[in-house]
Amino acid sequence: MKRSKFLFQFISVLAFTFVLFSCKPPEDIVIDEPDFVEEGATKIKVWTMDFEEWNNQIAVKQRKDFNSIDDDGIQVEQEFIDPDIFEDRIRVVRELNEAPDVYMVSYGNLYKEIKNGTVAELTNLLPQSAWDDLQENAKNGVMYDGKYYGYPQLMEPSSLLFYRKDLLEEYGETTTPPATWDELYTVAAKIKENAPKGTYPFDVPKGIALGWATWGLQYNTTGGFAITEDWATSRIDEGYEDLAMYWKELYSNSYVPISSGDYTEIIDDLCQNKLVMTTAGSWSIAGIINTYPDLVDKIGIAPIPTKDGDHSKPTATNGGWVYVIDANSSNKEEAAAYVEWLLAGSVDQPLEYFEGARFSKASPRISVQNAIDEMKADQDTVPIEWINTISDVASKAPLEPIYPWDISIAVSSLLENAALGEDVSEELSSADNKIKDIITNQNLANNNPRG
Amino acid sequence: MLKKRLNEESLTAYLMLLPSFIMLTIFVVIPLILAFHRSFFDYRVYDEVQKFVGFDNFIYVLKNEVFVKSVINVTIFTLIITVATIVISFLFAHVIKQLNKRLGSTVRIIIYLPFLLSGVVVSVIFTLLTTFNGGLINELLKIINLNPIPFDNSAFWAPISIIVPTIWIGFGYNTLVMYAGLINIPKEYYEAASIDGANALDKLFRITIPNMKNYFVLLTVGLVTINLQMFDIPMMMTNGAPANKTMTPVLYLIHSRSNGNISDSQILAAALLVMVVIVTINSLVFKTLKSSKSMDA
Repeated sequence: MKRSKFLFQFISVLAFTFVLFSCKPPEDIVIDEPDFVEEGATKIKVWTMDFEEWNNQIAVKQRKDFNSIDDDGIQVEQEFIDPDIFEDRIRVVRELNEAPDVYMVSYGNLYKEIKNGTVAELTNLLPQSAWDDLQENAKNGVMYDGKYYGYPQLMEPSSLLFYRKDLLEEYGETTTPPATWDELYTVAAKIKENAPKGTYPFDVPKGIALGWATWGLQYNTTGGFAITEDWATSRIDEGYEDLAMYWKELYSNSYVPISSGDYTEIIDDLCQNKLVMTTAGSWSIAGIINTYPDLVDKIGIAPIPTKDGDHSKPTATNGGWVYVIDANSSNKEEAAAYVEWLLAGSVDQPLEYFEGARFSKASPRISVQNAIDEMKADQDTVPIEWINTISDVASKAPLEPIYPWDISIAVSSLLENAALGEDVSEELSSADNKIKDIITNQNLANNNPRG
Repeated sequence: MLKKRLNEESLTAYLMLLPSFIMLTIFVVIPLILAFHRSFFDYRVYDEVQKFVGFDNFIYVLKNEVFVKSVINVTIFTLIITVATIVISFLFAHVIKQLNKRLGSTVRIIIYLPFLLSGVVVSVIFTLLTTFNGGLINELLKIINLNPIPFDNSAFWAPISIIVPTIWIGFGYNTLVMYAGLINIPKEYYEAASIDGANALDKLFRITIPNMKNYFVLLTVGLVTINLQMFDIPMMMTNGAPANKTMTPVLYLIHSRSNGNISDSQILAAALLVMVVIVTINSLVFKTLKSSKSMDA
């Protein structure tokens, strides 16, 4: 086995040279001056996801701030990684025993990393106060079998209703966004009648996003996800029939465009008058403020329309990113010191991040969230009602589920086929059978690590 | 003397084969052996001792509904693309053969150009044409008051939006191969057939097609092999939508790999299964078309 590992390492070296060209700082970042270099300091490698410009700017600034501390004996070497190639890169460097000390994984992928033994346990590497400060649902996202494996950076609800106040009033003849599906159908019919061709009343996630961005709606409509808490039984029941019929209604009446762009950029269509309302993730706020500042006053945010309009129930799931330390890192304590400084110690660094994010995300830390609540009243960049809606939706949202993605594919196929006009009862039965097969084939029953 | 010359020729042949042999060994043979080996383990990168799981990874993949569906999808796409490409290329090669030398040469250059583009570039070109909101075709449809076509999210149009660019990208190359085959058939065959009173169809079925058999085999095997592994155009045009109706095996593996749905060992097992499908279908092609030396040889 060791010989085969060597050969794999050799091939990985070759593959690594091909992907090496992607190692670069994001183009938007102007690296003005070099970091302070502490002589003799332990170097730790940190991989940061290459996201939006504001996000990357803050990440660079915080690295420089950390490196400017001249007596901690730690020097951070940061590399920005395109999320699309993260899996390829991390596999290659792990084979070479050159994995970064610190990197980011999503809440949903953390369990896979733990199962594969690729991330280190952090319970004793960070002070107890850091764990005590975490909100309960964030704790559940990083703790398995009573041990902590990552420190969460943020939580963001994956589905909110963004609507154009001006267009809703002009074409929908109302100023109130729909809270129920029936209200949505009524206002969408009016918009369809009054709006010019090419402007659609509403939009929903499509493609891969359909699998994850509807988790909140699934939870709201059916009282849970597609399988039971213990992962033993399919939950494709009447609740999912309602959901499939809702999807069918939206598409058969052309209330939503049959095709649209990527869910993470769906807000562009709203801002370009192609949509009057849309479902979108909370991260869209930063996009509106940075790209369409003139539209801030014209856009409203509300919980997504649901079957009964009861918004005291969850309407979204919380997703987000977790910082982990590689299991093979030889500098775990130094890496933990950096994670603590960045996320788990003073509120200053997290606050700087959330301010840059235009308060579009919630903090997993109680103390930071309290500080955000105080800070949001003193700023005028982001409408206070937006922040309040996000906080409200995020506070009720469960964490995104960690069951195998195949189950989400079965649900998204059910909804897509309903949208295509297929027989809903047949599709329900098909989805139910697929999920039962997945439970059996992957031996899921009673194996929910969060259960 | 003859023996010495033969030895020298053999040495030259082996030396010329050596670079290919080394490259194939490094990039194909060794990875293939290692892939086979690792596909029988529950491989975990940091574990010193790996757990042997026999055929579990293969069984897991074969029981995966989306993977099986993707294999069916790609087989259908490959069948349509292969047949359509060969028929269209064969007919167009006849057209080029009839053109005068200068015009024929220009046409050959023009039709070959798409072959120089990558699948990603071709997809971008077709996306500009087919995007639901803002694509050229749909904007024209709107002008004449027709509804736009959801090329990337309709059960009918999504496969077409993959098949058409795939045919287009390979059309020039395949036509040129057909053309090369056509001009290699001695004119005397046709002259003799004409003297014997053969009509156009007789010439087509008794002279042209039998003489082109090896070209058909070459192109069919190439098209089958490439298209069973297709992923760039499907990924760019539809990304598997709607409801996995345009999912291909390689695209499924890419999705699964990035969302952590499938382990490294299972990915290798799936890749090997795709290879088995390709080898099986190509064997059937060879057996059915029975390539042979040309009638002249």
